[in-house]
Amino acid sequence: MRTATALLACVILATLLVQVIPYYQPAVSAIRITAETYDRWLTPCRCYGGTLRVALPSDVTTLNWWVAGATWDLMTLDLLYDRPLRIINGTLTWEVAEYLEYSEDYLTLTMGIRKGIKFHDGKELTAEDVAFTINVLATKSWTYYHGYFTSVNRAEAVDKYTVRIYFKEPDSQFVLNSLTVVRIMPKHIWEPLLNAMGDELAKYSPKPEELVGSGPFIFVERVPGQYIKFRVNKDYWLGRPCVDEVLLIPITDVSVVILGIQRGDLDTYTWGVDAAVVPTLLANPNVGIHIYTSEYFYHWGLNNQVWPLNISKFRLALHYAVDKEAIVRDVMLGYGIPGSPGVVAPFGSCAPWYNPNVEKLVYYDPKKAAEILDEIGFTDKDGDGWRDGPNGEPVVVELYSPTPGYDPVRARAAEIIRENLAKIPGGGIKVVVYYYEWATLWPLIREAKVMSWLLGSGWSPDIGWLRFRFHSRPEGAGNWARYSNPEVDALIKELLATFDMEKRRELAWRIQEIIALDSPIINLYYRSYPNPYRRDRFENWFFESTESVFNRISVLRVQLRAEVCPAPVTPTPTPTPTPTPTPTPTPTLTPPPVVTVTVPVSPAVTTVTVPAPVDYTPIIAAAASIVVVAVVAAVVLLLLRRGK
Amino acid sequence: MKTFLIRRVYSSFITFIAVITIVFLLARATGDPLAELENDPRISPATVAAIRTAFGLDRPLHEQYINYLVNLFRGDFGYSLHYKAPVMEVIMQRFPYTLALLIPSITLSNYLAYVVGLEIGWRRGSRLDSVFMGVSMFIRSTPYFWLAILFLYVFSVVLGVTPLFGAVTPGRRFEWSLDWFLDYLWHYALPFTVLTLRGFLSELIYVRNTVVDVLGEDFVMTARAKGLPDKYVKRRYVARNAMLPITTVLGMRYAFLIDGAIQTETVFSYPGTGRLVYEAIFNRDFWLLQGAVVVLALSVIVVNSVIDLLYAYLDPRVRYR
Repeated sequence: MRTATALLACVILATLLVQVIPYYQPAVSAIRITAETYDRWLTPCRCYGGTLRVALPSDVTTLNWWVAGATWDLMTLDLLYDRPLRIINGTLTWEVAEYLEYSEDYLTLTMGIRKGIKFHDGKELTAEDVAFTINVLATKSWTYYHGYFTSVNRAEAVDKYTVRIYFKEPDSQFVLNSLTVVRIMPKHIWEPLLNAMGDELAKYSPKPEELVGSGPFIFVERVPGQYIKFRVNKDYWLGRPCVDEVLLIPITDVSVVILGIQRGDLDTYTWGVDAAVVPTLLANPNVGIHIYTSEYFYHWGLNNQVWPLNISKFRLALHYAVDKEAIVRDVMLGYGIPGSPGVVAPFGSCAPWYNPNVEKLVYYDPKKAAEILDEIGFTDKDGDGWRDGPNGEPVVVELYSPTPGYDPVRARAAEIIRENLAKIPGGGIKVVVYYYEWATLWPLIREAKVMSWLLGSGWSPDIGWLRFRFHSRPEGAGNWARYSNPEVDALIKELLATFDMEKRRELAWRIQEIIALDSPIINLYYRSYPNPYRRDRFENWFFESTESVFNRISVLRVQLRAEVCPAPVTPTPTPTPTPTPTPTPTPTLTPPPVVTVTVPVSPAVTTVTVPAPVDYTPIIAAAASIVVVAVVAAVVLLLLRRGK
Repeated sequence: MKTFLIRRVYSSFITFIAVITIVFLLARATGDPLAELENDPRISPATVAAIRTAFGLDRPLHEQYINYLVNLFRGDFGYSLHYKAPVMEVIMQRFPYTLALLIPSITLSNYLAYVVGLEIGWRRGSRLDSVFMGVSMFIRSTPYFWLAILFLYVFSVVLGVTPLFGAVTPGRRFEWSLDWFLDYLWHYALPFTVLTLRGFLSELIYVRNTVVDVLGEDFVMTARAKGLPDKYVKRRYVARNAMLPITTVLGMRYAFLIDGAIQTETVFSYPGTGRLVYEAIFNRDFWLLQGAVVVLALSVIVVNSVIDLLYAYLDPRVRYR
């Protein structure tokens, strides 16, 4: 009897304990991502109306976002769709997403999305749409951004406004790379299409009624080669944009764009114009110029497998010998920034990762180049003015550049490099420049069949792009120089594996220092583009350092000036942003603070006294009139005299 | 005549096949259209492979060729890699603009070249002849691009009487109304004028020289010696004989419509197939290029045949058996 009671007591106790145990489990600590909200960039509309006329350098090729990759296609589609997050002026900003939380093992990411966002056809944007979009990108390899979603196992809608993404392995690049580029596609439109067409969707051109998104503008029509028209989405969740319509007009000849801007037929251009026409444009008080710099890095690629470029110090000497400032000043007329020795750009989305110490490690110093070359035995042994190898072998560096017609800046930069290297004190390094048509040159670069080349290459928002460029993996794509350094490989591996932003920054800094001294490629310059826009019709343009004035924030807040406003609006109080829950003191993944680097912009634009351009108008008009009159008169005379 | 036609059709067919085969091989010799994607850090190798498969680029050459021929005769011209749409759709969206611009322009410039060329050839050596030849040489030697920009600058910028770009005012939806057609014609005027002027003055020299050649013939001298009026000699003797080579040259201009007026399209931002074909070469968009070449080959063959038949009508000495 006593045993039975004891047993019963144990069972009851055990049952009670089991009930209580869950409360003693350690709380699963979630790691939250922090970002800014949109408010800081927007201003209330004082005028509704107007049509924004924007020139594109070439026609849009496809409006199927799944496969669109061309810059202008993506720019156009940006008017239609929203993203979970966006990088604006180097700052991570919430868009459709409201919060992001990682599980402790980084294999699960929970995303909360805003409530009340509607697609253009009235249906609400829910977690189902987000999950659908991510799943398609993760499973269909023909989608353009598939490469950013290969680490995703699947995404599912936990409830109406919460998405959970499950990863195959922790991916530290996911938030900055993937969530800032994916546009949220309506599941109710694309799922039936996907089911019906399968992989043939890669070749599909969506019909106008299928071009439905949640973005600030609604698609109206597209006439190929002529224009694409959008009208304002009055129910846009951030508040309706101030303008009524956006017209994108493809104009292939940039001189016509310049004339159009001068005449006022166009409001802005999505690209840059030639630096030489800037003074002429600025002579018109109604035209403004915004200079933006692309993080595309133009570099001298060196084939690390070929002698003497396989000698690290030799490459470093070449790096000291190249005058990047001269290239920016003389070839680009100041519209550019000398390339950072560690390749990571000091501005834009690369700015948080940039290591300023690299500028002290490698800089223009021909004497230092000479010292290093002397040290490794590359001296002028036969007295012909050119340095030879340690055993007297002739040294010739072949430099392959695309033709001036394809890229005049690169073609001229090649000549400057040749001159720089010829002038190294104590004997120059002979550089022979070859100009190849781009389509012929590119396969040679890809297969490392040339000794050195000039190439412009892209990056990604997350610093993990260093792997694509400098890791010595076998398939090699991206690392065209075939650079192989086990220390860098190890650092890159760690960089990709860790989520600690501070640690990642440290690793990125260290990698940049090694790359600067190893110089597998010599980063030459970043290009700046003078982007024209009119000031007399629209005001409140948003200026971003790495984009043209036609950007997401501009289209939301640009408005007609008071003088030309048909119906001014009394400013409504700015809607208070939905309060985000106070973050619990858990470890956060704050993207490192943007190091404000004063991007050296050419002073030419702000302080130059604009010389009055020579006016050839009367002469041209006279000549043309004479020709036309002569021809017409002759034809008329002839027809009249036919009978005789 | 029947045998002639059958033989003609047969030889045209062989020519057609030969042309598209050569273009098929040459296009693929220019390299891999997906090569540029490899320098883009966003694209994974799996994506490049998937696109390659979707467009049939991973199949062996002979398989691609056979598939292409089979589809061609079924009316399927393939997909444009660059535009991600059926090739015919891409071409047909722009071809009507090219046709509308070029056919009237070529016709008018041909007519003017013929009429004026005949007169100044007849009056060779006169001041009128010198004036026209001078102007013609000048216009013909100037780069067309420069001429077009000059006209654009004078008429659109300085005088402001014509628009700067487009086939219609951007944003103007097509409708069957006078308003829309007037807008269209307003945009049409300048490219049409420049094309016609240039075409007229270029062909003028050729017509004039042909006329001068014919004037040197004995039968012309005989006709004038017989005392026939100038007008009669000009029309019945000179014009008719000069007509034959002129017809070939002026007529063949119609064959190259799809090449369009690429410089006109660029300067006036006028939609058309010229720019399309040019870009297809640079983007290595094989199917679009092949589709354009099919249209080109067909039009050359058809126009050539029409001209040959016209010959039989114009020249009683020509008989086709």
